[in-house]
Amino acid sequence: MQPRSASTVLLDRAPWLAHDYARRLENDREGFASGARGEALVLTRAPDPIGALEPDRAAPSARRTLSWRPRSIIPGFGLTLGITLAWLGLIVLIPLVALFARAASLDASQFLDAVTSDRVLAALRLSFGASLAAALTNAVFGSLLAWVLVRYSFPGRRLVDALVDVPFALPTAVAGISLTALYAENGWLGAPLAALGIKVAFTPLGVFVALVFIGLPFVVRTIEPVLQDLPAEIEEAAACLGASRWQTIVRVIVPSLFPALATGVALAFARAVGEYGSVIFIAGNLPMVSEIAPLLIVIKLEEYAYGEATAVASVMLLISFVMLLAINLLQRWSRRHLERS
Amino acid sequence: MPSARRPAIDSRSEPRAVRWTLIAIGLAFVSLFIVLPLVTVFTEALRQGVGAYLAALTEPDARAAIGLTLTVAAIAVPLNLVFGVVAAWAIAKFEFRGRSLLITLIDLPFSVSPVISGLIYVLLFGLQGWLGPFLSEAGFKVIFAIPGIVLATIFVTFPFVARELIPLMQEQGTDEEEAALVLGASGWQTFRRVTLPNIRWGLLYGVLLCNARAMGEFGAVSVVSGHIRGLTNTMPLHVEILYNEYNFVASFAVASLLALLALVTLTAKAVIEWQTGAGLRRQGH
Amino acid sequence: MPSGPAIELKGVSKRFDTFVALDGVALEIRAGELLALLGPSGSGKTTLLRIIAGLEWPDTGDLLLGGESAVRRGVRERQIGFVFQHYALFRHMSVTENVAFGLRVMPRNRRPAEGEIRARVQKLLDLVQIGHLGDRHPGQLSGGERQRVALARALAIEPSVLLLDEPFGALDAKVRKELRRWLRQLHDRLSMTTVFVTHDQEEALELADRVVVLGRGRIEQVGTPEEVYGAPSNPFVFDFLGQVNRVRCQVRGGRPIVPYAHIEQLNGDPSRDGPGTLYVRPHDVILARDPAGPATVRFVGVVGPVVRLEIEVVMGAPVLEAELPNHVYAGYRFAAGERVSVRFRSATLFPDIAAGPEELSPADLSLLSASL
Repeated sequence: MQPRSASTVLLDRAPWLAHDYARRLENDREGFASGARGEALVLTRAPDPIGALEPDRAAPSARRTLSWRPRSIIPGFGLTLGITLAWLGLIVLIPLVALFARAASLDASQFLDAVTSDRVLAALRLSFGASLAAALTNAVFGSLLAWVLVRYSFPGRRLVDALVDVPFALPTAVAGISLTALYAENGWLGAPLAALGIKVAFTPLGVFVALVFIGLPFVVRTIEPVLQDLPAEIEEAAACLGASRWQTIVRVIVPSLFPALATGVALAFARAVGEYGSVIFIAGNLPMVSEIAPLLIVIKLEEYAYGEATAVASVMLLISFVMLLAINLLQRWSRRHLERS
Repeated sequence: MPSARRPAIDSRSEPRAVRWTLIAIGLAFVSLFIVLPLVTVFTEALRQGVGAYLAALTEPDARAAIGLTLTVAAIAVPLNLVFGVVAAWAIAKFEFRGRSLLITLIDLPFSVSPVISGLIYVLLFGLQGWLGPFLSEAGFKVIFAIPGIVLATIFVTFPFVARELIPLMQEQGTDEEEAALVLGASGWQTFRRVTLPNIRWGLLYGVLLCNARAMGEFGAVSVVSGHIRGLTNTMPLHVEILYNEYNFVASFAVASLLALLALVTLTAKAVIEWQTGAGLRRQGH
Repeated sequence: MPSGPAIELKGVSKRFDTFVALDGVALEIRAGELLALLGPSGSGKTTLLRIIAGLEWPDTGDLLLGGESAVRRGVRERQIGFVFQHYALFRHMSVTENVAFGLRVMPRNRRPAEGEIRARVQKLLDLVQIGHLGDRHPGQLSGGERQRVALARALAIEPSVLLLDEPFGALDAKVRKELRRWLRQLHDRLSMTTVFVTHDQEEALELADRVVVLGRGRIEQVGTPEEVYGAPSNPFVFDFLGQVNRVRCQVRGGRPIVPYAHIEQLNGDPSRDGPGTLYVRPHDVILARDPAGPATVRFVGVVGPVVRLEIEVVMGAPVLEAELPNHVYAGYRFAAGERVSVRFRSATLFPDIAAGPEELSPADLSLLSASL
């Protein structure tokens, strides 16, 4: 009998049996050990004849492979799954498939021309570049904000915590015109910045600002719960072992937060790449300079260049799906990381 | 008696100066990127006084936009509400193969750019689309008309209710439903009397978020609407048109209504969290 | 009047994927009896209970309720009272509403009038002694009170059979004892066929008229508490019920040979020669002070009213456990290190089924040589 199984056994038994079982396991081990030494014995422990003491190795739910059709007394599986699949198919899947089918119907050179024109490449570069810059900025300030909100108490903390959700809830067009008014050359922030020679509105920097705005809650809300659940003991242990506060943060806290941080940044990035409403007002939309990829799709549509619009859209969609996959993997990693710690 | 002073370095905290510096940076960031834009909406809207503000909101095109936004939300939100509950029931109360794939598919609209969300319907129902010619012969217009706006709105708000309910219902398990069935309740009675009361706060929360997004959606709706004033302009689109016409006060006036909606939604969220204790748990320290 | 068993299971098997939860279980449950399904977790006892209730289905086999096959009858039609392990009280309803639920969801033609529902609920609450808690919500109740609500709720639909899944599992020791006694009294008053699942042998032995010991999806033994504890029919039951010493021995000429101990009463069949195992309860291990004895006291622990001793047989590492009442021990006062002689007041022999000669360990060989 493996000593490792003791805990499993104990969990299943009434507490008052625990002592007894622990001792039996011990005896078993001793019995076999001495038997192996080959000393002259008059008594040995019988091996557990039918495995009565073995733990449940086959707990029913542990390694069940699921069936397509569960049998349960809870009613309504067929009906609800049917409606779910039908609605999902009609609203989401068929239209998305239609987009790819349309893209596939373009001939290859047409497709390549559409997605490799200078204007499209510039737009994609801006969308991805600004999104990455914004996501990384949010990685720094979002973590800082999450840390401050979770660890410190200060007046107005709960209000600030609630405000972090504003970019989720505020319609993007509203955010767009408001940020533009703020950062325009006569705006509250634009004027002093212009005096310093920094132009924000109607430049790529404006795109960056808008994307920071919409990405912030993703990072904060992904890190917050992990930071909250971080056991105090690990920090205390680090301190007891002589680590300075800085060492504790760098070597203990940051590594435990990293998967959540990566997930949050990926979410913010994915959202930023597709963002439209909050960006187009502040961007200025100069072709080759401050024109984002989603806007280009709209422009192509308005020019009735459906093929080109579809080509650009399918490339962006493909990239989003790859990122979705990456985020799923990150989240799985993050969860496993949490369970381990 | 010497005052009991806390040791300068607590094992779980930083020196006071560091703490306050970090708090200051955090607050500055929130003020700069969140509070100021929010405040700007209202100051810009009221720049020419309450009279101009109200005039901008009561002008016929604005009224039509508000009406359309409410109509679209009134169709899209209930549909997604029903879908969300139904999907959550299938996913949370049963274990079956492909369940996590299904959850991913339901979340899919979140990772699609709003512009593309609109585009896919144009490609399906537009005049150059697959079903467009057929529909136009039947005299039925989807794109550049209200049905297209409703469809695009349903798409972008598709996951909200379901993703709020699935974890909640999974956590609650099936014990109470089983108990109800053993006591002789029918499936519908079980849902109505046992499941629904247990998920009501999560459901309300999901509906609020769904509604906020439905009323505020811009990109997807912009692609399918055609921007016909007084007919296919929702509030966010009306904001854009007024803004592009340099009618800033009117634009911000309509925008302020949407901003209010966002604030109400967030307040309701805080109240719900307080009601369910989730907020307390989250603020555990 | 139905004279047959209230519940009858015939060859019931149930698998979850590769895991066999139940393997050909046949059982008759008599009307009015209080029956315990006892076994370690994973033994299938809860699955069995859920199959009776209609919450699970057997893969094969038949279930008869009151003489009629019930496998195809849905859970709603079975009218069975089921008390869930964690009670599964409706958390958004008051105690009264919880108990009234089963009555309120009845089809209109059978549903009692609202006034009658209220009267019946109050009667039930009084019966389970929580008449004053009707307006509370489950969150405001203690574990024991919740248990009583769950019971009242199950009884409200006037079930023919009452099933309880680990009814005392979630309660602390003192409340558990109290509720146990109370449930027994309640059963005697209602004389309703009652089946409960437990992994706690003390609970099963104290409470039940008959105990069904389950192991790995099979019924190991069925009998009264005295029967299953006093005369376990196989090593599994011996191991599972109470503590036991397992002593390897060789059977020769109709008796098991243990060189260092005298066996007073032997149970089991010693007719087949070969290796075997003796099962000896600690309280059947009798010690006497003997400077020339073959065993040494290694450890003495006073656990309340009993004293537990660990005995090391000379030259052998394995340890025997002995147990004797405190007042008996007072007459001896063994100390660690003392030499003693050993007697088994009662021992049960089970021959080793699979052990052929090639499986003899060095220990067995030395045992053999010692006995020659």
